[in-house]
Amino acid sequence: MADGPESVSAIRERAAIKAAIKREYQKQVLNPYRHGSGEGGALFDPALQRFMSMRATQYDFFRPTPKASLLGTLMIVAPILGYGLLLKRDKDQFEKKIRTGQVAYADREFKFY
Amino acid sequence: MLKFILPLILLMKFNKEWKVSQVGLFFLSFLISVNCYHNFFLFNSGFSLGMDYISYIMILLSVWIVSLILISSQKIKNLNNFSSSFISTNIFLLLFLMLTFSSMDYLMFYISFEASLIPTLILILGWGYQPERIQAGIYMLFYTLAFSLPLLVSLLIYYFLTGSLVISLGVPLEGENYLYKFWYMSTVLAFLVKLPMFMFHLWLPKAHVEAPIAGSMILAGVLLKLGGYGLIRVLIMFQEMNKSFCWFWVSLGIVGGVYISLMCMRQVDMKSLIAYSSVVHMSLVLCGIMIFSLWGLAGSVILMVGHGLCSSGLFCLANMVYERTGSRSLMVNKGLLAFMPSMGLWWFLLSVSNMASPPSLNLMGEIMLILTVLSWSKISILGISLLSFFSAAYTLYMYSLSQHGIFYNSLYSCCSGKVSEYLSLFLHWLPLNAMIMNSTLLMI
Repeated sequence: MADGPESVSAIRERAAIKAAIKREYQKQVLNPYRHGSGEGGALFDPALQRFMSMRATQYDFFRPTPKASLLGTLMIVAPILGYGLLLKRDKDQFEKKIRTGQVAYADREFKFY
Repeated sequence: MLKFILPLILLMKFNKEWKVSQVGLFFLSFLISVNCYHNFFLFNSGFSLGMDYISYIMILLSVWIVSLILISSQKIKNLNNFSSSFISTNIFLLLFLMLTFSSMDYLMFYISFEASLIPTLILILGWGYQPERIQAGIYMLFYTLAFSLPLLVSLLIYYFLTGSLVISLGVPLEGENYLYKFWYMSTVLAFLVKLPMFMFHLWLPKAHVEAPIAGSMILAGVLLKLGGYGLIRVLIMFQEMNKSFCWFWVSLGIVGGVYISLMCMRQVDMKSLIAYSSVVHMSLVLCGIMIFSLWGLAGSVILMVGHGLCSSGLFCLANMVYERTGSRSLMVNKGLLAFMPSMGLWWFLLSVSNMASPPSLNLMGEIMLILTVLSWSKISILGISLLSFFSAAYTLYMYSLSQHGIFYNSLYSCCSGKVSEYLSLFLHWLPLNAMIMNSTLLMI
């Protein structure tokens, strides 16, 4: 597990930090006056709050770069327009077939409802 | 119509007594639902207001949802957080919604459509929880206003050209040049932003997340349907022009819906997830309306009603969890089956209705809409199948992440569920799952 004296001390440091955090958590969760304060719910976790704030304010830190614009165009605008043009082509072909009389009268409408 | 609107105005006098207002709203919804055996094209008409098949079910939905809002917002009553102003705001909102859905005149429709934004803004700003609600209110207001000002201009031009703005006498416009295209776009975009459509949906997650439970319920339950209802009414004018643009709206609905459902699976905030799922359902509704088939229209109305009940119920559930744990994050609210077991029933019932499982109205709406879009073009099968699949995927994600597993360790114990909460959820679920038995009430 340990690869030398450097990582042993690193492991010890990490374990110390983790134990400190655990102690703090145990202190807060086992607080006997928690009921008296009237505030229920989950304990306040600053790391979780930072994460939620990050997700909530993601758009505020958006910078329009050429790469981002290209990504947006390729992934969003192009599929919408492309799929739309495919649908349009399909409908126009069907319209042309109807107008030139290639579709039988019985086949002109959808049959499955 | 006045037999419903006058009691509603009189109910404002009782805004200091919560229970009277609550019972009064339920009684009003009973009065409206008595008309369920309507057989005429237009009924309850008078004073330029009237009910149609579609507007009847929308009015019933709005009154029902506002009654359920008063049950779900008990916290405002208990803490006496300006409860009388709260009731007045909700009743004003309901009044404007009833006027919108029952108006027989485009201008009256437009005025009440815009007027319904103001009580919603007051609800978000006044009773919301975070400081971000200012930005959310601004987004909602300006998105809707910026796109609906061209709508006003186009309605006035329509009046100038045809001489009347009565909806029933709508003269279909005929013309193919670019000016007519511009006219069409400026009219239709207002409702597409309200619906909301994929590219213009940014206001929706913000407004839903920052709004209090009342705001979320009324937004998801009724205000989004204003967009759909407005589209149904306004496309009478643009029948010819719509055929040229139908491909674009259907593609936007399908591709946008797939993208948004993928976004849903990335959310950590419960309300944000439910808000994005609203966009998915409404994009399917958009496809159905734009295709102009009878089943498309009926399917979109049914899906609008089903979604209104289901999303509103899911927001109620998310709020119940938020009131207990203080967080909307799915990382904190996990394993809730161990924490609030009886609520798990309602999470399940409303989640499966959200993913369109029988016997919910969402199922019927989605079946009709899938058939409609498929009948319009067989190429749409790819997008529709992805949409349906991911819709089930993100709902399952939300349900299993919030309910299954070990619950969050530091959660303090709480009441499993008050009877008023169960009542509100039951009243959301019952019409959703029972109305499929007699769905001719909803269909055109």
